[in-house]
Amino acid sequence: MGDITTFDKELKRGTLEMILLRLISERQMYGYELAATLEKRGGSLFRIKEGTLYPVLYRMEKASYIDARWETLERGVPRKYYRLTKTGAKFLEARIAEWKNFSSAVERLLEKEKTS
Amino acid sequence: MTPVTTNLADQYVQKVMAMIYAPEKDRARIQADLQSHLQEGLAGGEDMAALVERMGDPREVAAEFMQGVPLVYAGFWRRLAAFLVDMVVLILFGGLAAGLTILVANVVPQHPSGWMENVLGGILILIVLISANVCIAIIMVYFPLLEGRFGQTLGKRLFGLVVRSEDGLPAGYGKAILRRISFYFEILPIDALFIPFNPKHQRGFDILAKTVVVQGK
Repeated sequence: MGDITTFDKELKRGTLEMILLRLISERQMYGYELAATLEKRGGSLFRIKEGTLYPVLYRMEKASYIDARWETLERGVPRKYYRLTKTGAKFLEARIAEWKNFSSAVERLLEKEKTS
Repeated sequence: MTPVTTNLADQYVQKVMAMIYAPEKDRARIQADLQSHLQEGLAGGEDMAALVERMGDPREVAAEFMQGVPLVYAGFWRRLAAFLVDMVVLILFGGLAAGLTILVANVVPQHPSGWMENVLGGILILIVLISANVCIAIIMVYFPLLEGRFGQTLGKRLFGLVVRSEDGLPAGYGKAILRRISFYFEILPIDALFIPFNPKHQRGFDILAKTVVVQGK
């Protein structure tokens, strides 16, 4: 568990929406599951204060990137599942393209110039 | 599933909800989502203390929720109306204490003779001192006490106004005292002139205390 720096935090803040949308795009998920998946796949860097997940989800719901509905499975507690909307899919696609562009540009900049 | 663990969950949700100021619909949604999250952990056999810890500091979490709640800042006239009501309340209660002070002061025996009159005089003087100080105390603490504890005075309650911190969280006593300084130094009328001329309709001392007065839910 490395130290989480301010730099990490800023990066996380900037990418969290995209990452959450990506997870929701795989299959509909509920909040608790999203938090767990974030940490499972992203490691301690993406361990978030789980209560703060919901304001982010509300924002994305308001922007119509996702929609939510309550569902009670057999013998289960009621869960609110989030699902990606068409608008959300478009937004996600654009963000991912942007991110790939950005990260490859950063990588190019960080590499030492090859002297030929 | 011992009662203790569910208690921890309930307490956590209550702590967050106590700091949320939002329309009932939004409040219900926040509460339901937090409860469901904790229930999910509970059903999965998680240690509730650890899960509550992972949820994050209630204040921080409430602040994040409040970022999504648009606050309606109250304007000059409504605030003036609330203030005038509070002035009436203060004059009434302050006047009652002041009246009692004067009344009792007038019956203190001027030339007491015998121990009975001396003791009676002493008691009456004590009552005068207490009621005089109560009168001052009412005027001094009325605003910061009620705004610090409940976010609103009687006047503000009547007009649906609430004092909150700029980030939407409860203002608390510290900020409630700070924003009242202009009242104590009798420069409130000048301070209030700021209200129409800034986007959050803050008095000068609201800006200093980082407080806002919001309207309705």
